[in-house]
Amino acid sequence: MNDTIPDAGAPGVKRTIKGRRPQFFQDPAIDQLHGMVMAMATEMAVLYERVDTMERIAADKGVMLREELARYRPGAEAQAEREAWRQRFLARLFYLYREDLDDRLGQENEAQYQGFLKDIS
Amino acid sequence: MGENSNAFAAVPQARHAMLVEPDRDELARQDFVRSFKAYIQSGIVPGVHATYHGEVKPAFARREGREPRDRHEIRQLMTPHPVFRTYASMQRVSQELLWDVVLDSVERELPALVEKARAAAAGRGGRPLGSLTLDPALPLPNYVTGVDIHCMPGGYCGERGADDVGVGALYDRGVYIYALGMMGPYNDDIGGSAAKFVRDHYPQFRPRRILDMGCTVGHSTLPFVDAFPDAEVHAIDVGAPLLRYAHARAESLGRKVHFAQQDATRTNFPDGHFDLVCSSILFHETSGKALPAIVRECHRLLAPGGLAVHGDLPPFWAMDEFNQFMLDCETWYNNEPYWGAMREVDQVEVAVAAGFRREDVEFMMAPSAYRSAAGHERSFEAGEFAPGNAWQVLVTRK
Repeated sequence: MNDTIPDAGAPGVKRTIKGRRPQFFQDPAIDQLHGMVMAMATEMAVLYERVDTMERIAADKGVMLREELARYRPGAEAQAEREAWRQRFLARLFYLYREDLDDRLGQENEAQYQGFLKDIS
Repeated sequence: MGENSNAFAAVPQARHAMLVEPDRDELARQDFVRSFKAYIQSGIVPGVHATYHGEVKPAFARREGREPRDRHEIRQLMTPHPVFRTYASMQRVSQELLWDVVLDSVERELPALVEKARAAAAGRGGRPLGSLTLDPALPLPNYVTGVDIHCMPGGYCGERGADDVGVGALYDRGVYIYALGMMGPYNDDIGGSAAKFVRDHYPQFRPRRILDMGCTVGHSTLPFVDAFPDAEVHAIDVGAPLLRYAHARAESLGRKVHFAQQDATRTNFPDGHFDLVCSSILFHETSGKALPAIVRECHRLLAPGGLAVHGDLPPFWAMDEFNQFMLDCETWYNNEPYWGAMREVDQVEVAVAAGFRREDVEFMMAPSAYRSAAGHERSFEAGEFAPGNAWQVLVTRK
């Protein structure tokens, strides 16, 4: 890695690693995906701990959040809102699939784009 | 598993004034990465072993009519295998994440840590016990600056601001996670085991001056202060930010150590100045030229009757070829360029060539002081840093 691309953090600390990074898979995108998946898993662990902490603090104050959560049944309105959220979330997760489908159905391809570039220049 | 469980014993890292104090989310990240590393060991490494012994090796034997010759041949067979690739990739990712999640805490606390180290160096809040001597003109060895060792951003010498201590703070917290806490709450098991080894084997030995070479943040130095309270203890390293941190760390823990920025291959101490010279996991982070030079420098620095003790992980001859291959992954995937080559060096011959009498050179196992005190038995398994029940020590007597 090098310092050409600025670190995500403040200038005080260096985040990049000097030395060539090994590539483990034929397609370097898989290497990058491994990093992304584990970075996201780390953030999931943070969220898990936050919820767990909330439940424990509430329990210490006599509010049995964990038990109440287990007992909770969403009403029709809450269910509908949740379903809508899940669908938006799934659509975002599969945005590349939809993008690809759009291109196929609309016959959008590399040659067409090259032609378009030519047209507007 | 039972008695010989390698499971992580969750002993929290011991607090001192320089140690970063992760906030809630930072701690959750750091705990997760430590758990991830522990899981790689318990949940992924066994699959790599099973793949080699159950699939790759038998297939090779059927094809070639013999077993794979050495770690290099095993490496050729294993690197294309998807099970190995996933293991190696995840190991690398865990290492990158480790430093990155600790850097969050370091970045947040850095200005305060720099101030604390300045105060310790200036003796504010009382006369310092030890001292700090930096040499900005010291040439830095290429094996320290060539790559960031064990993928730690900035390496041992990286400095970004005046009086920077960032990499010291990063190392102290990061190594605790890296070693899965197996080096004890102060990360000091190598120094602690070596110091205990010297006391147990040489009960009459009373060193007046002690030198710790390649001390980093002084975590392995302090057990020698405790083991030999009457001795004058010196510690050297090439990294200025490490030494600033190390000095402030030692002061905050009430230990007297004289830290100096020096190269272990050629220090400026007089001949015969020390009765005891030690190093902890220094050798594998040097080079084929530097290692013999360090041993020669030890010979020069030792007074007659003096002792040098160098602790590290086991050499290759102490394990089978497959574990050699697994251990050697550090060379290829964790920016440890001398890791594998060092484990092939005959350190006894190096010591003899440096001037020590053959009968005064021994290669031994020093039982882990931390684990024997904690009653925690574990076996050495390549694939992780944490050792078994003992550290390998090269002991030379002048």
